[in-house]
Amino acid sequence: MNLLKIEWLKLRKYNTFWILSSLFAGLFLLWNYGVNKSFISTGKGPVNLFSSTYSFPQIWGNMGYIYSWFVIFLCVFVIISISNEFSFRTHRQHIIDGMERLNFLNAKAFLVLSIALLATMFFILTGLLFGFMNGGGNPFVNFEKIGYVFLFTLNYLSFSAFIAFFIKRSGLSIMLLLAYFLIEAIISGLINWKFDTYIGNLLPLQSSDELLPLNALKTLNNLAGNAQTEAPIYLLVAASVIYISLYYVVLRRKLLTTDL
Amino acid sequence: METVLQIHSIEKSYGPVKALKGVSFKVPKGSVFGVLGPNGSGKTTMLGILLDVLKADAGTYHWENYQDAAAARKQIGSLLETPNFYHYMSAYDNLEITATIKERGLDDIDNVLKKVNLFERRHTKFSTFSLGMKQRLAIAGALLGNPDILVLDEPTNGLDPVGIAEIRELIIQLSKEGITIIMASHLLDEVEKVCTDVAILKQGNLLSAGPVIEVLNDDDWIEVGCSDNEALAALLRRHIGLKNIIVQAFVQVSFGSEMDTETLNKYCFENGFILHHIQKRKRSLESKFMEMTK
Repeated sequence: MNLLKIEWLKLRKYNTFWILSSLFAGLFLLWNYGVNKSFISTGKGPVNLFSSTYSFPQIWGNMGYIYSWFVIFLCVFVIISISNEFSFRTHRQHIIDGMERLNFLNAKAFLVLSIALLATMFFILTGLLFGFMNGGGNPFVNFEKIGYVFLFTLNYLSFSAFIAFFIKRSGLSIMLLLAYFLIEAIISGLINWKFDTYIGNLLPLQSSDELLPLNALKTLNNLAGNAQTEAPIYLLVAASVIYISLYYVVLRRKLLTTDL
Repeated sequence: METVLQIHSIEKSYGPVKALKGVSFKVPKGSVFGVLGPNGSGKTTMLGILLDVLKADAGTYHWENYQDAAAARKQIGSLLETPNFYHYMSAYDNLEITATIKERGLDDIDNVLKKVNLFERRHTKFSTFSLGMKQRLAIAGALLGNPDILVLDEPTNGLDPVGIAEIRELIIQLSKEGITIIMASHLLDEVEKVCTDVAILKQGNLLSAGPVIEVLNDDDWIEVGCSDNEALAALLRRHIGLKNIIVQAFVQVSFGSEMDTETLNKYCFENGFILHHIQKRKRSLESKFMEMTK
């Protein structure tokens, strides 16, 4: 608990933290409002790639896809918070002051976990807000999507932390993260297309992406006779969990054995 | 003698460069222990290993009387290289983080800020501090929570003469209060003024370690002069007890056995030399150090 408190002391007075989290929350609300009221739409007339169905139970899935884009704000923040330690050399200072090396990693793991939990809670609140505004229904149907949202966030944030621990500089880490989004999309698409399989969907970020799909795109693909083989959900969940654990294990080893 | 730290055969390489080649020594409790050596001799590497920011390739160290190394570090105040703080936070907020890591109360923060003359500036952002102020804040961080041991790497680096004098005064003061101080320095003057014990490193080797008076103890030198120093030197070279001789403005000699000025004066006079100058002197730490690390 002390570790989380230390992280909080660093965030409390950090403008970048407040700006990025406000952008995440504010833009997410605004965007959903726009889609809900149909002034943001991709398509023509009644055809809209973003589903404007904002009632239960479809809302969790539809909003989940939109949410998956806004997590980038949080990824950028996680990268900054870790690369700050390296540029201020406070990672060394923490150890010198008596923090265990492993606890330096654990502090960041707790931070990532807390952000993922808070973001998921925010997602639930936003969903409830829009859901009840649009006629209600049973909010607990499709509620497993909430779990996917949490896992998605945790995977993306952990991956960002992983990059930041290795690259140590924020600018380069952020660019590499964005580049990796593209690289992985290309590779996964290539594998799936070339071998007519779903293995490409089990790549580090893709495994979580598939948990929050754009349903309209799938429908379109199916209509076009271009249906893709889909990975079973349990495999996607398992892959995401394995990747998250892997980042931790690799970073643990790195942190315990190398010079700081 | 009670020790606070034992270091055993520490080795460390950076790629092909061997920074420490099996260094061992002990630090006595209550001492002001100087780790002395020219630039690149391995001083900072040694302190980095003791504080766990660097990993030794071989060897062990042990902080006595603590359950583990992290617990020891919580009781050790340290100042390694540059002051490391969050630029966007004030002096006070930065020390709050230090205090939380060290598991100390916050009531001590004001005290240490006053000790280093930063109390008035406690709510100013770290990024606006001058180098000297940053260094003083780092010292405040090291003093937080009354440490048992202080580890200081070049503590007077970047300070003005007044600041340097203040830090030395502080070190002597803290040492009197019973705090053990381990200090790396290449400033011999600094070591001579404050240290009780010393370890001398050169290119990763430990040349010598122990109390300053033993390690840096030197033969007594006698400086003599007459109207013909060359002839006097020739005479002294024939003296069977002679160990070393240097001819400069005066003739400096040291002897293997006990020799006092009276006996030497008599010896010269009996051999036809009338001295107009004779003085006993110890060589400075600096010349001894230069000789050891040559």
